[in-house]
Amino acid sequence: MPESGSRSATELLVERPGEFARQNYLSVHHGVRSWLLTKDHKRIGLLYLFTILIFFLIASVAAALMRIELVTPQPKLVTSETYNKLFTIHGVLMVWFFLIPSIPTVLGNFILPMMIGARDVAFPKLNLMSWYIFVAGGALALWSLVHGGVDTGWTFYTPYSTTYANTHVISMAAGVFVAGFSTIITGMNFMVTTHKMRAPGLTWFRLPLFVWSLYATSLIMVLATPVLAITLALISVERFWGVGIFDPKLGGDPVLFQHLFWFYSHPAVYIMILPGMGVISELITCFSRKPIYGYAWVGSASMAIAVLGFLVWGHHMFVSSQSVYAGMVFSILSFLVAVPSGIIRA
Amino acid sequence: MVVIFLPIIFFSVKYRHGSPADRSNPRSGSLWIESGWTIGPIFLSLGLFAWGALTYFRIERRPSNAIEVQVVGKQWMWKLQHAEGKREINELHIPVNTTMAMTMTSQDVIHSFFIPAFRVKQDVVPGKYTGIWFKPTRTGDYHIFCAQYCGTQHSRMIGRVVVMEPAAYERWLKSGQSGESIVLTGERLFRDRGCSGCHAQNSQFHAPLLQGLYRKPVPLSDGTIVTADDQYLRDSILQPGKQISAGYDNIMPSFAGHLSEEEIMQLIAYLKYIGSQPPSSQ
Repeated sequence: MPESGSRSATELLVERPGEFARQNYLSVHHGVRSWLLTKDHKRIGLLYLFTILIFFLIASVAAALMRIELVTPQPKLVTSETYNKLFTIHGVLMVWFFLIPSIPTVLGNFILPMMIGARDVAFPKLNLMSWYIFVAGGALALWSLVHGGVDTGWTFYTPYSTTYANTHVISMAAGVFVAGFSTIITGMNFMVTTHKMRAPGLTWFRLPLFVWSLYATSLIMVLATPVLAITLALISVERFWGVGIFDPKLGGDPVLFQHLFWFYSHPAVYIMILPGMGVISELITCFSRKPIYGYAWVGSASMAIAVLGFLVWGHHMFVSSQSVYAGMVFSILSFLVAVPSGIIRA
Repeated sequence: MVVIFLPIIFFSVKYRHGSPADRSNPRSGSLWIESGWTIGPIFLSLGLFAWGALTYFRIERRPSNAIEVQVVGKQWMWKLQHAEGKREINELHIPVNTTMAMTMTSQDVIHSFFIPAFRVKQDVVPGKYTGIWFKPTRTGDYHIFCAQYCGTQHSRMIGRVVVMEPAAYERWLKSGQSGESIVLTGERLFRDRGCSGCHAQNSQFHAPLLQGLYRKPVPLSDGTIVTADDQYLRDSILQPGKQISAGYDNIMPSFAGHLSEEEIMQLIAYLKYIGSQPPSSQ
């Protein structure tokens, strides 16, 4: 209970005494069951928070082990094989089970409905299902870690991942594949919520910038993640049944994998950074007590980044043997995506 | 530190409680400023792009006078062969002030040939040829790293470039087992593996002659025209049915699995050699 030392709280207590007795989302129900079956966006946000913190912890331990190993040039703590598995699990968990879900699923679930004046997201049951799918994906990834791990690196480059690695590639890929559906559902949920559930009078160009950034992020989640799912499925098909897709010995093209992978993974970079930019836009304007400078420009820049971000994947592949002409096209588009990024940061 | 802390102190004093500083909000947008710092960086980035693109095209164009070295990457070593036939593993001896060009492929996974001191890096991809070139201007030892994660011993896939004075290089080239030149090996393979049984003027089979072929346009049976470069020759050896020369039948067996990456490169070196001869030299 607030103390009377806070002046505004005292005023509230005097003016509206019922306010303090009201239940909030934490006190309305109790017990494990009420959490695991909740459809409340705030509770689901907290479920995500605890889940990603667990993955963050595991990934951090892997990082710490790597740094300790690197204290001496010779392998003292772990073998080369274990070291490779450490950076793989670190990468996989940090990218797909911490960074990508972090701001959208925690802060997004928690405050997106409040920012647009809605009681919840558009599909609360799907929202809970999305968390369960995320946990299932994470469990698969951890299963593959417990059974010996994967040593391909988080990028799963072919033909190493499909033909040459002797580790549990398929189960790890399956974990990321499953978690991807959680990302897609969350993105779709946020987009529908933003379209259909804004309070009357809250037009698009009155939305808080965090909502704009979440909207741009959701667009990427919905459009890019399926490509990752396809790519991981193709890896498993080649690895399991020997269908030649990426391994040149089977008639495939290893660079094709990189095109598909970065077509997802470059936009995924913006899944990680755009919500962060949205948070900063809100925090700085709030605590400097000033409206944002160039609101419409910043909101539009978020969308421009989301769209242009789909066209620059080849800048991860300059030395991959793609043609120099393709390289230059990706180069100029990458320069151009720096312009809206600059607007947001300015 | 200075950039952060000086403004903190300055603003703490300026806006201290009770100071008469102006606290009204400045305007929250200006079309001119926004357009300015949007269009300005666009031209700036286009300028940087043009600068970078010119450099890229220069890197891409391999000088014609370069001395070739064949490079095969495998888990977890570099195998190199000079045109004179000398082979090396994880070491590359080259003369100073000479343009060197690597033709590279991998026999298993993707590797990346990286000499940080020369500022060159290029992935080495199974199933295709990639290349880099450089002209060292100072003698000495320089690192070679594999820059694409390739498995357990990736971090040990390291070597060195030894840049030598031309005289010392000549001595090194003649020392030890140097064997036959790549072209001679290729010629021997061309005979021993049966290529010459068909690709010859007096052959009973209808197969294209390969003299004068290299870097020339080849009309295909599907109507397209390709250039007979390294990649085309390689594909024709391993997947003969992929691109069939116009006027010929798809009768050549695949040599995939029967030739190592080095042997394919030696064969291509031989085809390059006869490729520069007039077509009717038989």
